[in-house]
Amino acid sequence: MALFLDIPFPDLARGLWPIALPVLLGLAAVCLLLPRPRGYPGLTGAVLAGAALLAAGWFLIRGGAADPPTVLFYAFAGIAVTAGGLMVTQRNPARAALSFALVVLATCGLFLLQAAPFLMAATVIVYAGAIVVTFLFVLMLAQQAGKSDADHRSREPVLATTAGFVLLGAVLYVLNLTYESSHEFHDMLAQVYSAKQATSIAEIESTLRPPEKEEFFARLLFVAGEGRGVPVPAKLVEKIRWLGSEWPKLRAGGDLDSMKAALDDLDRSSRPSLPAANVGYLGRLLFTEYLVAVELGGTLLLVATIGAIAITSRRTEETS
Amino acid sequence: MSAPDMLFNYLVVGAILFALGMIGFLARRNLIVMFLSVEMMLQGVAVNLVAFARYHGNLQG
Repeated sequence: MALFLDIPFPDLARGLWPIALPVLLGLAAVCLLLPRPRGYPGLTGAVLAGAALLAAGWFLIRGGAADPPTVLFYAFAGIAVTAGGLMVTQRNPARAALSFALVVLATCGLFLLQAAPFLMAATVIVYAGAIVVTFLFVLMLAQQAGKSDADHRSREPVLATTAGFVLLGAVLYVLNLTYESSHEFHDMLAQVYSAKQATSIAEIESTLRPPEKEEFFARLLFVAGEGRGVPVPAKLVEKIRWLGSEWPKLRAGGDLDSMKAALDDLDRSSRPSLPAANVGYLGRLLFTEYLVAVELGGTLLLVATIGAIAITSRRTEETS
Repeated sequence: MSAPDMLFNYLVVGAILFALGMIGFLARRNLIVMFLSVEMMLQGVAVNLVAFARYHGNLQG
């Protein structure tokens, strides 16, 4: 509640409509497209869904230059969300399973874009390869006799879609608020990035100019430690504090190279990179820091295997 | 796309997948489709975790 009371009303309304438009369009579309005994014409729902997707892409996603990662992100995210909507609204469960396979493949593309190749490979093999195929086998073998109309009706379609989209709207609103409040910090880091490429001390001085009459690193430290927005790693806060205390000495020394080296150091630690040996680091992490979780998961799988064997063997005894 | 923009975009996609999965779980009557919807919610959470892992530069997320 305090989150809402903090903000003056016009700001609240201004920040609200880019979220409300796609969410409401999507709500109407999914509500119309969910299976009913006497369904609405599919075209209206499809047009609304397309409009919702376009509005989400236009208002919610922060685009940039049309470089390959951005274009690929748009493609994979669009496929994932479209296939997800199809999966929820599809009457035929086999088609729903195939749409789910498409969702999984598109999210695997997103994983690869976010430098997680091992997760991508494992998800393709386990989900798209094993789980979806198992589902298709179950659907084709088990649904032969006694066709029920359960696939042609939904349980409270209006209430269910409202619940889902209210949750989505709330999540997007808080996300937007967090993004806005962490904006100053990222702008100042961008200033550090352009200052480290400067060619003279005067240029560094003019680039590192805080919005108010305040020392640059003091302001950066305050914004980083404010506790709002995206959490800043403690190591980075420590580095900013250290550079803030060193900076007057560097400036008095008047050595351009050492100033640029210090700025470069800060810039590098503000843009951390993942280790290149993805699988090796994952394995080390799983068997040191997350050893207990791995053991618990393994035990759970063992129990599930024993249960599956026990159930199937009992059933064959009864039939034979 | 800068790093915070990228994080924001991936979180939006994860939230949409999660919400769609929740709607499917609540509205559909077929048990298998309900299970698929839960799996889709899981995919949304996985996208979230991977985006945070990239943003923070560690594999823990």
